[in-house]
Amino acid sequence: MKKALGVLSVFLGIGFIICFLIGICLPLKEAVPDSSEFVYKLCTSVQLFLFFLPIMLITGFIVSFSIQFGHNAEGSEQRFSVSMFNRYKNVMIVSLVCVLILTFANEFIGTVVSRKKSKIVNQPRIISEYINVGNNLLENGFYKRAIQYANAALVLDEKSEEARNLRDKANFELNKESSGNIQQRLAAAENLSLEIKKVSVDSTQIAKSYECLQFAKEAFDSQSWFNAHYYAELGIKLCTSKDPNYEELRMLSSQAWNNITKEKNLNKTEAQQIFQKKYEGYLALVQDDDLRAYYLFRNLYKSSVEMQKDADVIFYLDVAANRLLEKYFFIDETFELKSFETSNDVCFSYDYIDGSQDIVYFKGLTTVKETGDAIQYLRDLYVISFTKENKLYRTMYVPYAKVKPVSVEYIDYSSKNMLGIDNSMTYVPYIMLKSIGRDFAEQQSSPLYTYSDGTTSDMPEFMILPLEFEKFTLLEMTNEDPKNLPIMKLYKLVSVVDDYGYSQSVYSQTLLNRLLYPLFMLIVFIALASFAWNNKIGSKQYFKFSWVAGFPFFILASGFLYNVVMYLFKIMNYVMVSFAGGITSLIIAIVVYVVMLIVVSLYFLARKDNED
Amino acid sequence: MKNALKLLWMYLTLLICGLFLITTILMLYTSVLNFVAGQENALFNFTNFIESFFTSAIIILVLVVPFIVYYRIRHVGGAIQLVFFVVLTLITWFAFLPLTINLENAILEKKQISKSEKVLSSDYFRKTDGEIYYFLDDFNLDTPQEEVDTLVIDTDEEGEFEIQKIQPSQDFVLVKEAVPYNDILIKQTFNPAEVSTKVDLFSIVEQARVAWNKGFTFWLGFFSLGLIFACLYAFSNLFDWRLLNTCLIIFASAAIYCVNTFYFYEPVKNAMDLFMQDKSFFVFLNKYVDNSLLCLINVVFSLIFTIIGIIRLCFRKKARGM
Repeated sequence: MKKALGVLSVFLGIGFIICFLIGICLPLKEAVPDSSEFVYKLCTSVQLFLFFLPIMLITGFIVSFSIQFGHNAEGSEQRFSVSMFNRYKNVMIVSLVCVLILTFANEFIGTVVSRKKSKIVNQPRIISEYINVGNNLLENGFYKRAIQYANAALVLDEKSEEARNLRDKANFELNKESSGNIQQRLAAAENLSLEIKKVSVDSTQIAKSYECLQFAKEAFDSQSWFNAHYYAELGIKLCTSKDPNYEELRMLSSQAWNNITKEKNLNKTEAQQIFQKKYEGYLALVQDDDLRAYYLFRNLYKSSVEMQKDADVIFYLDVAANRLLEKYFFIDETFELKSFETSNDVCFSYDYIDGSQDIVYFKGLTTVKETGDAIQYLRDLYVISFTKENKLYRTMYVPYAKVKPVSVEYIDYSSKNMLGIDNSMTYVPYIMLKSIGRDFAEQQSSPLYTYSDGTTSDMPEFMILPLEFEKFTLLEMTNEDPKNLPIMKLYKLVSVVDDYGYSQSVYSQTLLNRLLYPLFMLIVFIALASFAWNNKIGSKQYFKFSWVAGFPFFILASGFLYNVVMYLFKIMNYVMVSFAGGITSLIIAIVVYVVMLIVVSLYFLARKDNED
Repeated sequence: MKNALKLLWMYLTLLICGLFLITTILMLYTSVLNFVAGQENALFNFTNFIESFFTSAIIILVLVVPFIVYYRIRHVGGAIQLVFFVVLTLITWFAFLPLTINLENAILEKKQISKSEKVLSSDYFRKTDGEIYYFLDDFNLDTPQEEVDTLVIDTDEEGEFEIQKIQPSQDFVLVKEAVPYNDILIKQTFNPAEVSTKVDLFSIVEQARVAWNKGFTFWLGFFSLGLIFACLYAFSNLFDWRLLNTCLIIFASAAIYCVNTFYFYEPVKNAMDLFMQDKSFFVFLNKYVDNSLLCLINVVFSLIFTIIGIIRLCFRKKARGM
C-alpha cells in the first residue's frame, strides 16, 4: 500500500509541477496588480491541477497497482483467496484516500481558489470604490460613515495610503465638530444637563400609563408643553378603560395642548416663530403625518447650532424618523450600493390561493452583513402580476427597495388570508418600496404601478411576500449555478424551488451528483483495481523508463473514460430523480450505488493469478 | 486453438452483453434528451426501445472488433487466433451489420414510429445569455400556430421586461440552444462540452445505414472504419506491459471513433468537400464511395498500423531467436 501511495504521490507531484509551469507561463487574461501576479498565476496552476486531478489519480492508481500486483501476485491461484482479501483492504484504503482528495478538491479547494482569483482581480476595484464613496460622504458631512468605508478599505488592504488619509481626514472633522460642541455646551452646561435628561427618555421604555403620567407631570411643571402633551397622549393610549390615571392624563393632555395653542397665538418673536414651527411639526405627528413632521423637525435641527441642542427638536425628530423608518427608507442608504451587490438577476414566481401569480425580478441585491443579511436592498425591482387566467393584471417597478423580515404576528388575519400566509410561517419578507431624502422633502422615489388598462398609481408603498423569509433568502441564490452553491443551501433549495419557478429535478440531480460523487468514485477506483490486476506487470518484469513515453496516451485514455463514466453517472442520477423525485431519490441512489460497490468488490475478490 | 475458440465465445458474449448494456444506456440517454422540467418523464416507451435497440446493435457491431482486440491482449493466441479474428471481423461487417440494417428497415417500415411531442412546460424560468424566459402556457412545437404568452426579461443593465407572443418553432432560441436535449434546463445540468453538443456522436450509425442502403461499393467505403478497427490488432502486444497495450487500444479506438464522427461536423464536412471538389481522383471515387477522403485516411492508417505490427513481430522473433 505504501508503494502504491508512493507512486501515486510521484504522479501527483509531477502533475503539479507541469501544471505549475503551465500556469506560470500562461499569459494573464485579466488586469492583475503586479504585487499579486505570482499568487494569481499560482491559483491558475492549482485550477489546472484540479482539472486534471481525477485523470492523474486514475492513471497513477492503475499504474501503481498494476506494478504492485505484478510484483506481489502470489497466493491468488483460487478465486476469493485470502491474499485477494488483503489486497482488497489496501485497495480500499488507497481508494478512500483518492476519493477524499477528489472530494476535498471539488468541494473546497476549487471554490477557495476561484474566490481568491476573483478577489485578486476585484479587490483593487472594490478598494477604490470604497475610497470614492468615503470621500463623497466626507464632502457631504457624513464623517462617521466615511470612517466606516475607510476602515472597510483598510481591512482589504491595510497598507492603502488613500484609505488612511480618508480615515484621518474624517476623524479630524469629527473631532473638530465635537470639540466645537463641547465649547458651546460649557457655556450652557446647566441647561444642557436638564435637556439631556429629557431627551434620554425613550417612549418604548415606558410600559405603564402611570410612568407616562409622571413624565407628563414633570414636563408640565417645567413648562415643556410638547413633552407634557406627548406623554399624556401616550399614557392615554396605554390606559385600560378602568385605569385610575386616565382622567388625570386627559386633563394634563388638554391643559398642555391649550398652553401650546396659547403660545402659538402670541406675537411672533424669533423664539415664538421657532415655537410655531415646533407646533406645526408636533401637530403633524399628532395627525400621523410623519413625513411632514420629520422634515419640519429636520429643517429646524439644521437651521442653527442651538437647534441641534434643542431637546424638543432632537426628541421629536427622533420620534418622527423612527416612525418613518417603519414605512420608508432614506435614499442615501442606497448610495453607491451597486458596487457591493452580492447577487444579480434574481427571479422567482409564487402563486396565490386564488390561482393568480406574481413574478418577482430584481437586477441587484445588496445585503447588510452586520444584520446577518436580514436587511437587504433590491435594485430595479419588478413585480409582475398575472390573473389566474394568465392575463397581465399589473406591473410594479421601483429603482430601489428595502427588505426586512417581519413577524407574522404583526399581520392581521384578513391580510394573512388574502396573501396566503399560513400559521407555520414565522417571518415573512416586508418590502419597503418608497424611499425619501434625508434632508429634502422633494427627494422621493415611489413605486410605479401600471395596470393592464394603462392607469398608474404609486400605492401601496410596501409589499409583503407570502413566503418564509428564509425561503426568500434561499431563492436569492437561484441565479447561481447549483453546482457552485454551498451543499446545505442546495439541499434546502431542493424542497423549495418547485413552487417558485425552478425545476426540482434539476436541483435534485445536482445534489445527487455532488453528494454521491465520493461513493461513485469509490466504485470506479475498486473497478480500476480489477483493471489494474488484469493488466498487471509481469512478476519478473521491471519497469522500463521507455514506457513513460506511452503515458500521454494513457492519460488521454483515462481522461476519455473518466468523462464517459461521469456522464453515465449524471444520467443515472437523473433517471433516479425522475423515478423517485426529491430526497427519496437520494435514498434510492445510495442503495443502487452500494449494490454496485458490492458487485465491483466481488469482481475484484474473484480475480486469480492463472487466468491467462 | 483453445484461445481461438475462446475468442469466438468472447465475441458472442460481448455482442449479447454489449447489446443489452448499450440498449439500456441509450434508452436512458434518449429519455434524458426528451426530458422536460416539470413534466412526467417516461423512462421506457416501446418506440424508444426499438430505436435504441437497433442503434445499439449497430454500435456494438462496429465496436465489437476493438473489444476483441482488447480481449486478445490478455489471451494471446497464434496464427489460428488471427484467422478467427479476421473471419469474425468479416462476418460482423458483411453479414451481421447488413442483416441488422435490413431488419431495422423492415421493422421501421411496418411500424410508423411516431415522435413524441416536444413541449416546454410553463411556469419555469429558462435562462439564456442575456434573457430569461417564462412561459405562461406550455410551448408546444406540435402546435406552431398557437402563440404562447411569454414573459421575457432582458438582463442587460438597461434592460426591462416585456410580454411577448412567441410562435413555437425549431428556430426559437431556447429550442436551438437546447440541442440535442429538449429542454435547456436539462442541458444545463449536464453541462456538456461545447464540441459534444455540436458533433453527433451517433453519426456513424447513420453512415452505416446510408452506406448499406446505397449499395455495395458504398458499404466497402464504410468498411474502411472496420478495417482500421481491425488493424488495431497490431497494437495488441506492442509493449511488454499489457497495461500500455490496453491504454493504446482504448486511446486509438476513441481517436478513430472521434475522427470518423468529427468528420461529419458541418464546418469540417464542408471544408473536406471543398477540398475534394476539384481533385479528379476524389471526384471519381465519390461516384462509388461516400466521403472518400475519410475512407482514404482510414485505409492509410490501417496500413501504417499493420506495418508497425509486422515490424514489432519481426523484432520480437529476432529477440527470441537471439
